Amino acid sequence: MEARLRRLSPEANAALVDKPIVIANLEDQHRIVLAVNAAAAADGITPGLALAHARAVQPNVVALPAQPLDDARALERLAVWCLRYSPLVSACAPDSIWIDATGATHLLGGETKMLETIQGAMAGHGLTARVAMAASPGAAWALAHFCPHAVTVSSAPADLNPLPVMALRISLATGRSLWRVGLKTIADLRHVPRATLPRRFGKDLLLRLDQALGQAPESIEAVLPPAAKRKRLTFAEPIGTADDLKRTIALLAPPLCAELEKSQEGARKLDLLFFRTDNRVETIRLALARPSRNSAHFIKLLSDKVETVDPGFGIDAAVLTAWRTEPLFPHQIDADRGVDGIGDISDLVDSLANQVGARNVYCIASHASDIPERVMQPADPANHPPASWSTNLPRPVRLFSPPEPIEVMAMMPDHPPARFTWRGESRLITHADGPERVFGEWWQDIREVAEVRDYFRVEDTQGERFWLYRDSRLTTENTHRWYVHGVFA
Amino acid sequence: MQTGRKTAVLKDLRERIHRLERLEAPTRRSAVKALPFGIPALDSLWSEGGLPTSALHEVNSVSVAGFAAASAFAAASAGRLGKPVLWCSTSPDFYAPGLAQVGLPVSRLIVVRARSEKEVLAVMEEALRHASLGCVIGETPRLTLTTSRRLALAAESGATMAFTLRRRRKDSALEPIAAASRWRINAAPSSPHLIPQSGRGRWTLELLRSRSGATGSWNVEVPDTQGYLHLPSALADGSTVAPFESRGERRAG
Repeated sequence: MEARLRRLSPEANAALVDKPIVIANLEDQHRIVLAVNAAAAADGITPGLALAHARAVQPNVVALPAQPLDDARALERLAVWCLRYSPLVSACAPDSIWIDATGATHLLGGETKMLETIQGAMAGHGLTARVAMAASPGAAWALAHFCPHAVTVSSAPADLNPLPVMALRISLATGRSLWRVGLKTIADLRHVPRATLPRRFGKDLLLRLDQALGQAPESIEAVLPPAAKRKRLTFAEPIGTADDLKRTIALLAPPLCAELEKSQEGARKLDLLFFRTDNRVETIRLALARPSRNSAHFIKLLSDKVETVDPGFGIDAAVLTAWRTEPLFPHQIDADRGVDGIGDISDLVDSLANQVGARNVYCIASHASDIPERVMQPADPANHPPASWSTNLPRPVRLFSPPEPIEVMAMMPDHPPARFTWRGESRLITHADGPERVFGEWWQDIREVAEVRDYFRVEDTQGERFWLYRDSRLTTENTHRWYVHGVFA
Repeated sequence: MQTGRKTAVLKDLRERIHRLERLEAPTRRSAVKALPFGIPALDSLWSEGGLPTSALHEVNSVSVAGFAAASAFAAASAGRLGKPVLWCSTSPDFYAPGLAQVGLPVSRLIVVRARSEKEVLAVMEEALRHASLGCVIGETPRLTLTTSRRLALAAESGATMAFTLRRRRKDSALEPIAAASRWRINAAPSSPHLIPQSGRGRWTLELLRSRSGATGSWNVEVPDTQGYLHLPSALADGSTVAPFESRGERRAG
């Protein structure tokens, strides 16, 4: 619906804003509503209604004709865009996209985080997405379409039980006949003896049920980015050993690099897809810190990950795709590995990033801020600006995040504490410097409007030096909270 | 005469063992073989004139402040090398402005956040063998003789300096590991001032074991912005003379 509106010209879009809009298609001599916008939904118009009925409910409704071909093409484009999350993505008409998240979740900070990221990215495209993650494509489809929450992570097949039977991707006719005999949810269906189902409702129903529960295999058809550089190898006999896979990599990488060289490009993202004889696809994904077309480097990085590939009963084709490339011009090899700055160690960075995740290998950049924990930010190791900090005041070498609350001895206002207790240990302070006053940055977060921190550098009797601060906002008991924020060398 | 021959035999044996351990003569060596502290009392402990690079060093600490000091000691040493530094930890909570103040410019630092202790060791080994870094620092609570030996060999083959920072309980015994030197660092009270303000921080720096056989304990001031430690200037009461304690020769374990 939203994608459709985006295809309209801006003037047409402005004219339609806030109006109830439906998309209608001709089916059996009736124009049936396929999709509605929020305004139309508020008027009680739902998909499935005849357009004549919708007009009766809301005479001002704007009806647009359905364009299924354009929609399918747009969905395909969106699926290609989703390749950033996983090497294996499939468009499922009319409105869904499958993303195989196997081995991809940790890169985005876990399953729920990944789904939220995807949902946020779709919102950035102007699309309202419902996302779900489950053990099988069928279950994920069911949860995304019928679960009340917009973001769902399913752990057990039992999560499907309360969903209506239509969540099984069955035809409307099958759904209606199930409904008539009282089989309304997937739980109902699971209690019926299996043998009776195909006779009455067709083979499709049982297959869909098994696919949703993960008991029958379902292969998803991978989308391949259209314009990307790609090399394919098909085998006469299925291969399966790690050595064969490594040989395949050694055969695929050099021609791809030769092609990249011809167009003066270097790959930033590579996908290696192994197509198994049982229609499943195994993937290896690589991300490179700098564009590269060094085939030896590709071969080493890909071969390191061959252990993650499960060949099953054999692999009959392999495709190596450079799906993100950047211009890379021939340059003089630098004999001197730069003394200041990092120099060229991008092959090490790539290798480590593919081992621990790209987000976990980073450089540190400085950020203009008064709040101590905000002055450093992770930066891309390939190109990061030089970091510098303006302060000459001593700073700790270790910083606690978040700062840890401490108990302090009563003292004069605006003076450093005489004693503090932290992690169950009481420390007597012998020296103290301060205060250094830091104000909250209300332009970052409105809750910081009244935040004022007074930092003290204190040393205890053993010579251990800590960075304490007092939050100047009064608590309900008219006292101040104290925290230890860091430890000095 | 007798002792002279004995020394020659021992020297020959040491060289042979060294060759056997490496399987071959080390081919790639960095130009700098030792990293001087700039303090004669410390530098004279090694025949190379400083802490050997291309070797594994272990820095122990028993408290939070000691661990911060150990981080600063490794950072300062890495900073003096003037080459890229990789720091691997499961929780990289070090504070870059503070590291810059002890002599490690952050523009040369690459951080790796590992998901497990095992991954820390794997990352360290790979980075050491890559041979393009100056120093690799890893935070490893546990280290066995075998893993330390792997790291030591990687450091040698890649001509890269390695530090393992270890936080341990006060009473835990030091297990044997294959490090070229083992240090223990703890905070020490800073010099008394007339005004109630803290002066430059101090450490009790202990060399527990080293391959050269030397051990000792010193009271030093925290590194300056160039990464150099300083001995505190003589006090009126003369309580800190370095080294105030020096034990007899002990071979590294």
